[in-house]
Amino acid sequence: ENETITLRSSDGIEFHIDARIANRYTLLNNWNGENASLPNVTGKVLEKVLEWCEHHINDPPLNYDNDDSRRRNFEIDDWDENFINCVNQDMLFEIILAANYLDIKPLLDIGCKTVANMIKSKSLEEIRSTFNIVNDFTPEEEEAIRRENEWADDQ
Amino acid sequence: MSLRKKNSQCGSKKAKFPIGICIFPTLPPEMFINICQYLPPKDLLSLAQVCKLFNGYLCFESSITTQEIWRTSRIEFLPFLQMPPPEGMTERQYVKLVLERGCQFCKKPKIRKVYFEFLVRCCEDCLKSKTIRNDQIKEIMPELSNLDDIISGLPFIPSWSRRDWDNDTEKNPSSLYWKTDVIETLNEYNSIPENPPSLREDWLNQKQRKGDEKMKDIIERKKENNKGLREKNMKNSQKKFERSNLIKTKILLMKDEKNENNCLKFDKDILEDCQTYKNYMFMFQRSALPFTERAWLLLKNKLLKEYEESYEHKRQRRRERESSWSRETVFQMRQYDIFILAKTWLPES
Repeated sequence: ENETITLRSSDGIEFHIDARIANRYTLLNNWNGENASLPNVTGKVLEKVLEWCEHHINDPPLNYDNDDSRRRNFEIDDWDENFINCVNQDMLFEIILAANYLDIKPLLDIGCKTVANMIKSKSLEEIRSTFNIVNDFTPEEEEAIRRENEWADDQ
Repeated sequence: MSLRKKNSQCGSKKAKFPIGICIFPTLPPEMFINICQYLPPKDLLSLAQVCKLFNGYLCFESSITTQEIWRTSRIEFLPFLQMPPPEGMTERQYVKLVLERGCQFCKKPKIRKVYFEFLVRCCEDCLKSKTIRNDQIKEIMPELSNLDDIISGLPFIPSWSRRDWDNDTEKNPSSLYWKTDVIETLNEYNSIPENPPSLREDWLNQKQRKGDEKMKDIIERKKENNKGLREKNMKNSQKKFERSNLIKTKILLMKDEKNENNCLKFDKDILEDCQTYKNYMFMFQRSALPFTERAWLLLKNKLLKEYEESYEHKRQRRRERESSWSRETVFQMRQYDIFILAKTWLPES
């Protein structure tokens, strides 16, 4: 019952996890073993991802064939919200990338919802400063976007 | 696992501003799409202007994926815009037309009126300058006997639907057409050889059929949009009502506030005479924003300040009056005041 498997992050940190986690997210199984390590996922990120997996170990399996039900759900439950709120922004994106890479869809969705909530109801400038994105439009391009008439522009 | 410790540790990081360049733009496109599916079209419009990369994702009009992002968002978040965009218009352009504000020609702010006939959002002046009345076309082109047939394929705004804002409708009831549409159509018609006559007849028939379909489509769109606007207005007035009720309740509670001796804190007459009190108790409120605790504190402070001023004013007046009276009279008057006040402290029997 207490079978464990060993995962090794890209920077060589080993994690011993419950085999049931690996069974839920099939991709994790690929990296079981002495010499296999996950490229692309660092120990810090993997630790967070596994922390999430551990908490959700008893969740009922989700039916992802029905894509609509997944999309309709805009809520994030309390534990997840707390979990995602106490990581910094870079880590948030790392988690999204890792979840995508490891094919852990529920975690990926939580990450994306969180980013969406950070964008919601913000002005253009607020979005830029929230994510520290540089405005790479030239003034002419910016003007063109602003002046762009959507339709029937016959001036 | 020592989860608690960890949480508090990284909790402090959250408040900090990110240093350096964010990795958001380096996310693969699938992830960007995944994020977009949780965003209303309004936020997508802002996102498209953030940087070149996002602009590329969201404004690549010929991409099916781009259209799909906008379509998903529109269907999920805009119940009043469920019909697909009109022929030739992309999802983004359609959403932009309906959601953005301001005349798209003269940039006059706050304009939200969309003329679905011409797919423009503009002010009345710009509409007038860019359209032409049916009878005006006839004046310019008197030689065309079948003008009505030629332009019958074009969308128009009928006279009766402009009555409330267009004074011309009374003198010259006539349909309104988009100028460039008319010119284009007339040119197209004239470019068709006159012989054999069936060429022009076929063209006319085809245009007419298309025109009928277009007008039906336009009517459906207007219906859908009006329904949405009506619902929005209703929701808004409901919110206004709730806000105003909440404010009234709070003010009434404040009026009944007691001090540590279980006496009323405020003089009712003075409080009721404050301008802010009158404004919020009896006047129509325009705002539909939720009434927050902070807003109430601000309002309460304003009211308290007015109350203090008015209270001080009243005392001042009394002192002035008393100065002309004898000491004894003042003493008796004050005693009487205390007696009246003390009566309100007694439990009601």
